Amino acid sequence: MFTTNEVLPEDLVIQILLWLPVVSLLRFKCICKSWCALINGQNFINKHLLHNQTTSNKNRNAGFLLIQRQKSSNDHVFSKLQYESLEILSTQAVPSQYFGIPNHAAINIVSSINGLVCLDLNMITYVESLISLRGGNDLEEQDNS
Amino acid sequence: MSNTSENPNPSSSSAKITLKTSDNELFEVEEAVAMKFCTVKQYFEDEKDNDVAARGSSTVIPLPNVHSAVLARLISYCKKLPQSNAVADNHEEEETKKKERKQYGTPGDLVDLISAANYLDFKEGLEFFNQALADHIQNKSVEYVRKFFGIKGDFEPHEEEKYREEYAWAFEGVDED
Repeated sequence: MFTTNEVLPEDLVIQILLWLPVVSLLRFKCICKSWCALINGQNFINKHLLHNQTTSNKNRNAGFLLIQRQKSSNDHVFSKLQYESLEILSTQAVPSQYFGIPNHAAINIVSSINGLVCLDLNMITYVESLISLRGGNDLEEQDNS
Repeated sequence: MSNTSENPNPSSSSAKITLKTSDNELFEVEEAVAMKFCTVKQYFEDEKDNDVAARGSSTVIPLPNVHSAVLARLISYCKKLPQSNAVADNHEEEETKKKERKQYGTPGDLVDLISAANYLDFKEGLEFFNQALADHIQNKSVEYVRKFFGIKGDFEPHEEEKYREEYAWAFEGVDED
């Protein structure tokens, strides 16, 4: 209904982007080089983090993180659960090929903060399954290495 | 800043300020509403300081960057302000607020509202409409957002392809354009 649809100046675009969840920002990094540089910049990252902690946005992103194995593929997946209803909002595979997480290992979430997740790999379990595969008995040696 | 719309005795604070938009329409608004726009407030106070004979009701403040259709919506938003700014404390409330934010027009309208709120230095309004626009583009495709903001993609096709593969999960579940 309005006559003009002018494109917004950069400082206003930044203020809009601060309201977006990380998944949208990741997608929008390939909009153009300047958006990519902006979203990757330490200044924007700090602002976005602060914004999420101090505004009404807080509840939008609150929730629980769950790690489980998919029955079909036996792969580890992260699921994000809604704060009150515990409804699963999104599920994402743990990118094991990048972090070298062996498929046999048991993984526990120790803690998470600001999008970083600390995982506990139960290496004894891993070693045990490895040994059982090889039929060996060098558990002590493996555990200490 | 005082709470305007809940005033039990409007006649006591019924000083009006007249705002003149870019298309030469005059809006007579309560002083307390107009004072939410810091640009107007500044102008108004400067006028007072200058001790111009015209005071209060007879002051006309020109807003050459704001169209009447945009100003009407900003004023209507101002009048609802107290409820709108309450913090949502659960998912349902957040959904209700999202719907409320959707009522202020098409995404194109939101761009105009954001520009106007920015020009008027109307902080609460700017936040509200920024959030409304973020709601709108949150699940949109890269192509949609480029078109919306008038941006031309400048990555080499193979660079973009590589990125999309690496972050494939961020490109899932995107809305239709």
